[in-house]
Amino acid sequence: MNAAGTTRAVGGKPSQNGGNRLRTIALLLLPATVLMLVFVAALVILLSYTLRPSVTVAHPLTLNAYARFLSDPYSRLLTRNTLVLGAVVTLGTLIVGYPTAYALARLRNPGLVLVVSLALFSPLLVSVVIRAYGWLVLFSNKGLINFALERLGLIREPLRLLYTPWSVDVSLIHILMPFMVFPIYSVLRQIDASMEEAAEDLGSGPWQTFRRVTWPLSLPGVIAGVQIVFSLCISAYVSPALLGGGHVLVLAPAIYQTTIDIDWPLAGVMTLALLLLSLLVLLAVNVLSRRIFAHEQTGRAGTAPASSRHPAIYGWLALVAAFMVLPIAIVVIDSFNSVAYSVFPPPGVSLRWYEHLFTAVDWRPALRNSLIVACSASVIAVGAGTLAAYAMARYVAKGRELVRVIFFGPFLVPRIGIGLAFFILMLKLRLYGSLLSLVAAHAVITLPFAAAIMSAAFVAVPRVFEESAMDLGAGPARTFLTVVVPQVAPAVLVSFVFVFIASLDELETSLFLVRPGNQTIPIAMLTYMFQYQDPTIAALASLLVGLSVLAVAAVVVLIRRGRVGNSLAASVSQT
Amino acid sequence: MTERVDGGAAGRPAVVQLEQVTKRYGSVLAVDDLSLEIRPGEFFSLLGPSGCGKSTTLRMIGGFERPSAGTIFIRGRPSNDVPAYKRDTNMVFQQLALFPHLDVYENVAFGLRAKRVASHQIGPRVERALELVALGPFRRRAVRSLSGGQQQRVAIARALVNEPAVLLLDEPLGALDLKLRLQMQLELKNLQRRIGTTFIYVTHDQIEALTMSDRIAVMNDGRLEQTGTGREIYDRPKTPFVAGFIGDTNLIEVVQRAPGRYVTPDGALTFALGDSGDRTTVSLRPERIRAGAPAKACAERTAGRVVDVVYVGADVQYVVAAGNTRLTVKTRGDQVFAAGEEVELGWQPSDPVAVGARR
Repeated sequence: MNAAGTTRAVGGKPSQNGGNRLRTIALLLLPATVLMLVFVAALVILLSYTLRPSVTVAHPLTLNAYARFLSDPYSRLLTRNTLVLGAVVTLGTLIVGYPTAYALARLRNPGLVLVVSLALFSPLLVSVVIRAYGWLVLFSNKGLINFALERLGLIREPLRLLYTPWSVDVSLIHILMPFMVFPIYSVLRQIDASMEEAAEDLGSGPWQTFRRVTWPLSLPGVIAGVQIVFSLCISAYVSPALLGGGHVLVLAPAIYQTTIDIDWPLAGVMTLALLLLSLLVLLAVNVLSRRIFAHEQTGRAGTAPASSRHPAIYGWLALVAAFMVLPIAIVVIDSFNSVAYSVFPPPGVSLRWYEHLFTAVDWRPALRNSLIVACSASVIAVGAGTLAAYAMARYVAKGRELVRVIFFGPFLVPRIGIGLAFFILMLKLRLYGSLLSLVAAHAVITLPFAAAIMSAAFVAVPRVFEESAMDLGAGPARTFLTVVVPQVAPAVLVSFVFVFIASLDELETSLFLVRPGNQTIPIAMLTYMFQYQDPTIAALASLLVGLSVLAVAAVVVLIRRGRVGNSLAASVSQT
Repeated sequence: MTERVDGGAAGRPAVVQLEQVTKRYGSVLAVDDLSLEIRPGEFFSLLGPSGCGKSTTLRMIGGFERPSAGTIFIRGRPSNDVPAYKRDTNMVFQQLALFPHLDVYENVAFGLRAKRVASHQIGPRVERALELVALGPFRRRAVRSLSGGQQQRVAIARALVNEPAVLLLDEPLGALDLKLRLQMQLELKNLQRRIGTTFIYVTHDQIEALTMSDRIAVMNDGRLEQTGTGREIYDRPKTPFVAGFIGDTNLIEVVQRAPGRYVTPDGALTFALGDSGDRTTVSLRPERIRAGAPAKACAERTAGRVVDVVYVGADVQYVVAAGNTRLTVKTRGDQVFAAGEEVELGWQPSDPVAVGARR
């Protein structure tokens, strides 16, 4: 049947297979590499600007900007505040997040697990701007919190909650909570119940069992959570800018302000300082964790995690779920407010802000921009990430760690810094203000997430399926499309949704790349909020929340039915 | 060690030929200078303990590993650089690797579609392959809804539908329970007789290899120990390893005393072996040794004392000390001798086999 096929390969040049392999790896890594080159180019240009005397003067090279940063007491204040903010928020998310992950991991009822995880993770689907706005409403002088405290007779005068450091802390703890809960939860789920049972069997009480067995085993999750939360926290822009009201002085908003003040060299140095803080903490935690984990600890498949029906578990989860949902719920309530300022309870119900939403501002250009950018960026990031992840999972053995570190670079550099770097690069390329610049930036930022999700998916597909397909006569491309892709289809869908939402909600980087009048949705909302603080934004937010809920429901239903993989496979295999 | 194929069934060219094939992973030698010829239509087994290089050999024939040295010929063509998807071989994997996203029919049709077989031929060929393994009614079932044995048959149909020159089977029955395993062994052997396709079968189970194979290649430590029919390998092992791996045996170190006469160093046991060098190892199967009255009829005899008695179902196994040598003796029926008893042992001159000095 295949006699003709074999004639091509007579002779046996020893390098032929090796050459094919290299070509395959190169092709698979190419799209991701192009994205990374853009990223590196942007960073190099940013670095070169920190060595300039000023924005307009390129020569001679000078360390002037570094000297200014180091000698200025204001920069020192910014750095100290940033560190304190990062520490407080990281500790806060850990204190709330660990018990939450612990309780969630012990739930057995699948319906309940779904509801609680949706409550915990759904805030991720809602724009940072909207979540910050929710806290704005909650913390305002006539907001829910002051109202409740007055009703309880605890205070007579409204407390000044807004524009204080701790209002920023609370809103960031809320925003970053899922990033702490999720890694801890996934590690806790891999700890077999028999571990704790063994400890108890050996005479250790519940507290001792936790301290000496569960906690040490869950540390990898804690470490991952701490690293992610800290690095996201110190580069957050919206919360300090909106809830700090100019009183919370940290690096991220300062970088944006310094860029507007056309002191790019100093803004560049501040970015480096932020990056350095982020890397130092990452490194410190890594060194610490290496000392803790002298032995490899990995979860095995098929473990049966412990379960519990203790009322405290339900109580705590309800409390945290309420905390997570409250700022979003209050935004929806606020959208039906009849007056132009936030007050709880609203004096009346009206739809005026929905009317105002469609008459006052034309949101359509921003919406259109956001959709175009999100669609293009997700296709590019998921495509490049999928191919690169496949190359890493199947072909790259020795340099895998290196390749991984390189592709995860954009995750390590604070978003606000990527924004500044891309801003300068795009100016040079005369692409500033174009949607292409946004697409490029968003694809670079989301590449690590897409690659991470897809790597995990590819690792789970046994190699023997590919060998089997090749054995049956399918070439590498056909094998990839008809055998590998169908099996990772759910992961492709998940990473697509993830990247799409991340792009739709991206703000810190886009801030630098949009021209006034040619904005994306989150930036248009932020701009509106800086100008008018009326509930129009709440009406818009409510509509977006509704859309997100529908999208998530659709994905959940699709994955549950298991149709995604099958339908995709059927359509491909019919070719 | 090179094995020349003796005339007999030859005359037809080998369908698969390995010429001094070596496979190294870094400094580990997985397959060491292996030469083999597999003839058309034979059921050929690669037998050996885990890590002996048998799976690596099969994977090199299938095109999943490339030899570090030497050449693999498939139908006379050097095929080292032919990728798996262009080879005239198909494999039944140990893990089966049925595609979970495709039903039974589409799994079997996969190879035909990949080879761009005209669509009007696909249906009949898939049906024929499914008939062959008696799975016709299951064509639209999801793979995971089938039993282990049925999945096994789908994997075989999927590999056979391409009508390969050679079917490669990598311990395909390893995951099945014993009863199903025995049944599938017979089915596989029958199937192979009916369709006449060459099978290369990898297994670590000596009984399985003896049951199914026309010829067996025994491998150890990456090297070929011996090739031959089951009978040849069992009755005339050429190395101590083969003698010990296929069935139970007594391996006894001996030295040459007179031409053709070999004795244990303490002189307690003597064997007539023909010329086998100054020192060698003798393989003597436990069931060939007679004990008590039946020993009197044997040409070779010795005396010993029973040290241990073990029941093995229908057999009784005695450990008998003869001088410094401990011999395992297996007899049918009930126990006749008690521990401590003196007993006469005997065997025919053709029973002991010189298997060469231990490596």
